[in-house]
Order: sequence, then C-alpha cells, then structure tokens
Amino acid sequence: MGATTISYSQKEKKYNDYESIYNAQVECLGTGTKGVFVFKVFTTQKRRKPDFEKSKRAAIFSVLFNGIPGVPSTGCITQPPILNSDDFEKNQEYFNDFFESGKFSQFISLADQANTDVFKMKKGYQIGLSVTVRRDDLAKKMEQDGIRKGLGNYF
Amino acid sequence: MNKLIALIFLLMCGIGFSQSPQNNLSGDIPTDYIRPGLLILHNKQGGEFDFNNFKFPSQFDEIKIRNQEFSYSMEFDGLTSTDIFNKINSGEKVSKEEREKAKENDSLYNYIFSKKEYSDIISKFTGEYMASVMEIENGQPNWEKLLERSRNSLTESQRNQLKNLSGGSLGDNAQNLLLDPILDRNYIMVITPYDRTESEDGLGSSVQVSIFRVELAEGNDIQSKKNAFFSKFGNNYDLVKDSQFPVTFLGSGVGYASTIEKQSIFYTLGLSKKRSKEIRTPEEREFDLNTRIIEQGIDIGIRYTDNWKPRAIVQKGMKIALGTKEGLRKDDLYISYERVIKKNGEISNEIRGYDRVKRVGNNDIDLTESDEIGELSKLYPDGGKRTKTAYISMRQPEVGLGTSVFYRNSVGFRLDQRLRFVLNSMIYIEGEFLGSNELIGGSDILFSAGIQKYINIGRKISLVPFAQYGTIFNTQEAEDAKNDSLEDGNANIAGFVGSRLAIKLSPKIQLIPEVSILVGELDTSDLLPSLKTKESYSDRFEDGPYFGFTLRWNN
Repeated sequence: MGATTISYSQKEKKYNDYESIYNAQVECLGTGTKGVFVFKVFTTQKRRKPDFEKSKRAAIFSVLFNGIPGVPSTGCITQPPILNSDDFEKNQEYFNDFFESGKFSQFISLADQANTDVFKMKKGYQIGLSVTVRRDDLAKKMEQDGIRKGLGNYF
Repeated sequence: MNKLIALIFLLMCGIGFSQSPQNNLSGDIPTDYIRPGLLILHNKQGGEFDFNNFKFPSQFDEIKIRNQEFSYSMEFDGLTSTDIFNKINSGEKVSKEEREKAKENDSLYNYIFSKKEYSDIISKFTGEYMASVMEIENGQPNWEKLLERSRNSLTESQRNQLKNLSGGSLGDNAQNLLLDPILDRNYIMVITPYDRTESEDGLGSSVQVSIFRVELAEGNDIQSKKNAFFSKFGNNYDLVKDSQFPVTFLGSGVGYASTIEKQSIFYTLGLSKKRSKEIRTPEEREFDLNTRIIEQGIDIGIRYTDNWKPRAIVQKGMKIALGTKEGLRKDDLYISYERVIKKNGEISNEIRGYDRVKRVGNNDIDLTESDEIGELSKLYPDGGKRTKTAYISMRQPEVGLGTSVFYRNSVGFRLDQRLRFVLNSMIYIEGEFLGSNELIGGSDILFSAGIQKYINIGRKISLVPFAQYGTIFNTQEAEDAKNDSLEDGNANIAGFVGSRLAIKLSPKIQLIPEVSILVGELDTSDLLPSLKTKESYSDRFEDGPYFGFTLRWNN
C-alpha cells in the first residue's frame, strides 16, 4: 500500500496535465524595464478562497508555453512563448521540479493578492490575480539550464 | 412646540431630497476607485454667495480655474429662472406642453439644460478645466505637477503598477499610466443657490439650491479619450486652454441647505436657558452654509453616478483600501457586491452585505514615492448577507434618518438621526399620544428626546439600549397659551431607560420590541399649589416596566 502511494506521488505530470491544471487567460496591463510584464492571470478554481500558488504557477506556465497577448493601449506587444510543448516533454523532470519546488516563484516580483478579482460562475470561481513577471530573466534561466536554445547555441 | 419643530429642523439640517438610494451598479465595473476631478461652478443668478469659502469634498480631485462664477438667467414661457426653480421645488409637475417642448426629456430641468446656450456656457469652462487638469505650462504638461496630482488620484494598485513599471522614475509607460486617473473621470457641477432666508435671530440661514452635473467626455473609454486628446493637442498644448470639450449631461436636482447655531438639546426642548457655548462669526456661518450647499450637490450627484461612489475590493477582516483621502466617515453605508458570471458570459453584480465604516484609515500619504501603504478602513456588518473577501464594497448614500411608528402604552411617532461621531448611535425625538385630557380638553402628548446605541449581534439583530427624557404637552393648553400669551401649565416630566431589540427584517425595515422603565418623573403639580391639569405618566400607566414595539423604516 505504501509502495503504491510513493509510486503515485512520484508520478511525473505530463504537459497535458499541466496545461489542464494551469490553463489560464492572460490580460497584459503594462510593461516595464528589462522585460518586466504586469498582467492579470485568470484561472478557474473550485473554491472561493483563491489558491494564489496555482495562479502564480499559471502565470509562469503561460509565459513559458503560451505567450502574452499584446494590448496596444497598455503598451504591451505580443510576447511569443519562451518554449514549446516539446521542450516540456523532453525535460519533464526539470519542469516537475521547477513548478513543484517553488523555483518558478523567483520570477514573480509582485502578486497583488489584496486586490484579487473573484467571479462566481455556475461551477466554481474565476480568480483574477495581478502579477508582475520578469520574463527576460525567466527566458535567460531557461537558456542557462539548457532548456531553451539561445542565439549563442547556433554559433 | 416651536422648539421641538426647531429640533426636527436641526435633525433635517443639510438634508435635501430624501430620494431612495439607487443601486444601479451594473456590468463589469472597474474595482478601483479613481478620485474624479471636479470643478464647481457657481451660477450667481440666485444671489451673491462667496464660493471661495467652503470645504471641498475630499473624495474629489479639486480642479481650479481662474473664474468659477457666471451669471445666467433663463426665461421659459414668461417665467423667470427663480420661478422655474420654485415651481419644480414645489413638486409641481411640468405641463404636457412643456414636456413636448422638452422632446426627449421629460423634466423641465432637462429642457432647461438642453437649451443650447446653457450647455455653451458650461462648455466655455472646459478648455481651462483641461489645461488645469493637464498642468499645462509653456505649451507642455508639467509632469512634476502631474505627479503631484497623481498622489491624490492614484489607487494603491495603480501605485503598485507605477512603481514596478518605472522603477521609481517616470518613464513613458508610467506617464501613460499616470494619465489614466487624470483624464478618465472629469466632472463639472453647477451650483445655483437661490431664495436665501435668514433666521429670526440672525444666526442661521437656509437656501434652496439647484444642481446641474456634466461629465467631460470625448470618447467612451480612457484609451479613446487619450487618443482624442493627443491627436488634437499633441503638437501644441497651448491650444487646450482656449478649446471647448464636449460635455455629457448627467443629471440635475434641487436641494435645501441650512446652517443654524449649535445649541444644546436641553435648550431646544426648553429645559435649559443656556443657549450655546459660543456664537459663530458671520464668516464661519457663511463657510458652513457654503459647505452644506456643496454637500447637497455631492449627495444628489452620488446617488446617480457610480463613478462618484468610493469603492474597493473587500480584503481580509472586512477591510477596504479607502480612507481619509476618499472622505470616508464613520458609519457611512457600504454595500458589498458579488460578481457573478452568467451563462451567457455577462457579468452581474449581486447585492450581498450591508456594512458600515467602523474605523477610517489614514491613507493620505504619498503614493508614488513612499513604500508606506495607506491604512485600510474597517467595516462592520449591519444587514444583508455576509460580506466575503473579494466582494466589491461600494459607498451607498443615505439620508441617515429613521422614521418609526411605535406602541409603548399608546401609539407614537419617532424620528431618529444617525450621529456618526459615536459609532452606530442615534439621537431621536418622539411623540407618544397619551390620549384626550378630560379636564381641560385637547390631547396630551409626551414629547421626548433621547439617544440610542445599536450593538449589533450579527447582521440581523441588534441590542439597542436607550435613554430619553421629555415633557407632557397638551394641545388645548398650548392653544390657550398662544391666544392669551400665557405660559404653559405644569410640565410633568418623564424619563425612561430601557433596551430595544432591533430585528432587521430587511435593510430598510426593522421590527423592534422594547422594554423600559420610568426613571425620572417630575409631576410639577405636586410642587405647586395649582390645579393639576395633566396626569403624570405614572398616573396613567403606573410605574412600569413597559413593553412595547416599534416598526422602523431606515432612510
């Protein structure tokens, strides 16, 4: 019984698992210096009390694999995803560690938890959290860790 | 009796039309309250007032221009403007013919406003308004001064964005962000006081006041407003001052403002000869009257314009990021809304809790340079459903007046007014109709003044200890005294203490059982060798305890 439990807990999540859990809508609110983006990440959650960790993971997951849609009025230019799903599949262990150990959170410089938007839906709640993400630093980290190939790798 | 009427007048002081509050919050509203810019113009057609002398409402960003006065008198079908205001103020309906002339609008006020010359007059002030808003100097916006203004206008969350985006300096993005609260909500309120009257003692004044409100609107959203502004003036900001910007009529109304000398309740009830601690100077009285006139305008306007109502997301512990900067006061009513996404994707705002301000936080700090966070204000529950974290809490204007019908030993009527400086407390006056007086005729009425404090036990029930004191009055005796210039007969004083239990049937209606005892009674006929003309309270109803109930309507 114990072995079964361990086996379950060590089961690595695949890209589709993450995509279904951290599927989020992103609305860019503004850009700052050195690739800093402020955006609101909307996730669907079962409970009224927001799961901020889930929202933050969803924010990083979106920057990594979905990109940030542009909003001209706020000065946001569309940002393509840093990685693609293949990168995830090739480095499944890395991303499990990256998301589960909390390493992802070092790229979020601010999460405005006090002003979280909560919308009641027929089933569950939509939670909107405003986060400030250091996208360029995140991309750099992916390059340093060999997940993303930077321009230097081609020369 | 006249003094009791004076007390009622005191309670009503500064209260305009007691229109029912409107809950017109709809759609996906922004959760941030942006302090609107407001220019107050004075139409002097109703008489001279010194409008440089008043307290500007702190929930607005004060816009000042060189000249904020004009005089415009209009005529309509042979009526002068004062006639028109009086006609409307008397509640007289407009005629069919007048309505036809008003075309799309159905009130005379709207007709008056729709007259082109009146809108033109207001529009003439818009260029200077925008030049003032944008702090235009030497053909360019003065960003330093704009930053200074933003300290009053930015919300906490906007401040957070600003600091993150600019890293402390005012870059292009930050400038862009800075413009949002400044260009987004701008209003002009035209105040026209008329029919000023002075009290007999020369220490009080009252005035009728009409209010017109417009919004400076060019484009529907902030981005189109910015685009329209910069495309027109981006190359030469000097043109702003002499330009005219479109205005959108928001609404109009009439109200009543007054100022009277503060005097003790005991003096008002005739129980003391000491009138007042100090008499105000004429300047102080003028300041008070003008401030009440402005408050009237804000009170009327705030009922119909959501952007004027301070609002914030409810944080843990029923706290909101509003405070002194937004002009919060103790006991202000706030309604919380839950945002619900419907099946068709529309967002509706469902009313949940009725709360009041328990503690006003000091948030009057530099929001752009300081790391300090403004103090949050705290709410306390006062009806409706439970207010949960992340609901939107929005100010709901109210008169603060309660009217009640009660039965103690006989039927009575009570009028109460929220005190505000003592939390959840009210002063009240009441008249208990004791019945006919067989000896001298007429009816005996116990007129009392009292104080009560609501101690909320949850949202629906409150324990309400109270104390009151009053005199028995006879209608026939008063009539005789009036005709013969005689003093009223023996007074017969009765004081009660007790407790009520307010059961809030709805946010508006309360059922209130009560128990009280007679604690202070002075039967003056026992002291004087005169004919006892009025029975004392205990003569009629014994010593108590007395049980009764009240039906109270919260205004």
